[in-house]
Amino acid sequence: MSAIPLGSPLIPIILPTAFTKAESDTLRAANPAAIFVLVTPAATVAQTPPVDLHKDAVNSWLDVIDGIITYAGGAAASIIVSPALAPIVVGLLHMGTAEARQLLLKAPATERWTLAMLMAEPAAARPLP
Amino acid sequence: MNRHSRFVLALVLSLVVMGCATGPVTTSTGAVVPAATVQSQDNVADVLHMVRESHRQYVALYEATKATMDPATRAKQYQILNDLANGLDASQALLITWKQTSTGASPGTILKPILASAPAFLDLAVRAKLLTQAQADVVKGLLAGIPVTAGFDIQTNTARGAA
Repeated sequence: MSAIPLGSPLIPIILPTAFTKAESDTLRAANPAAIFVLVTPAATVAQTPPVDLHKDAVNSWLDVIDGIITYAGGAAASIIVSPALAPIVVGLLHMGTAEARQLLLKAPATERWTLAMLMAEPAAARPLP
Repeated sequence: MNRHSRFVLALVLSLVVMGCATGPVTTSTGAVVPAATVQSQDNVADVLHMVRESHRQYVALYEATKATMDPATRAKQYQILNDLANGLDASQALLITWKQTSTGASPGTILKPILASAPAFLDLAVRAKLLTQAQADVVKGLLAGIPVTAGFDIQTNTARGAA
């Protein structure tokens, strides 16, 4: 079980990608109560956050964060995210996932697929016999 | 405002723009529509988008490899891809009409044009690793009338809870 209450605020630290393993280990040892956010190499991921974030996606992230915290015992765990998502994940950790879920429940309804977006979708590709 | 507060504010703002299934929504057409209807339309649009993208990728794969396929396999794959292309365009047209009117339709009626061809294509796409089994299962579930209540994330192209 987690050593800290699930959903409570945490101390997130973004682990610099330039750090060697020894440097990372030193940073972890010096911050036993922190949770580490590892950012994936920039070349492999999109650089901009998605503009149409939706509730289910964020709930999935919260599930993942809670799962990592639970299985890692709440401290010195690592979450691997893309650079675009790192600030959001750090914000969620600062706030605590429980509070974030409450905010999510109270969020007003929105429309992700506008009529213009639907009409801009391309026609399906046509195979040749 | 300190850095932490800015983080929290940014998060709150990002949460505010996210969808929710309660209350009315003023949509891009100007109509005020129940949130559950808008969410259903969004989910169907997500699914059609995902199937269309994987279909486009599979058509490219088919075109690149069809010369080496045996005739029966080639004919079968062509039939599946062609039927689904017709179905996807028909479903998209129905979805646009549903969006414009916000009444008289459901995910089942919108997806009916791909009902016959999608399952076979989904199996092909999973085998070609264009979709995960979890993604295919979400679409098959929707085609079978099971609402996407568990959550489907088109941004990461994964069903919620998928490995």
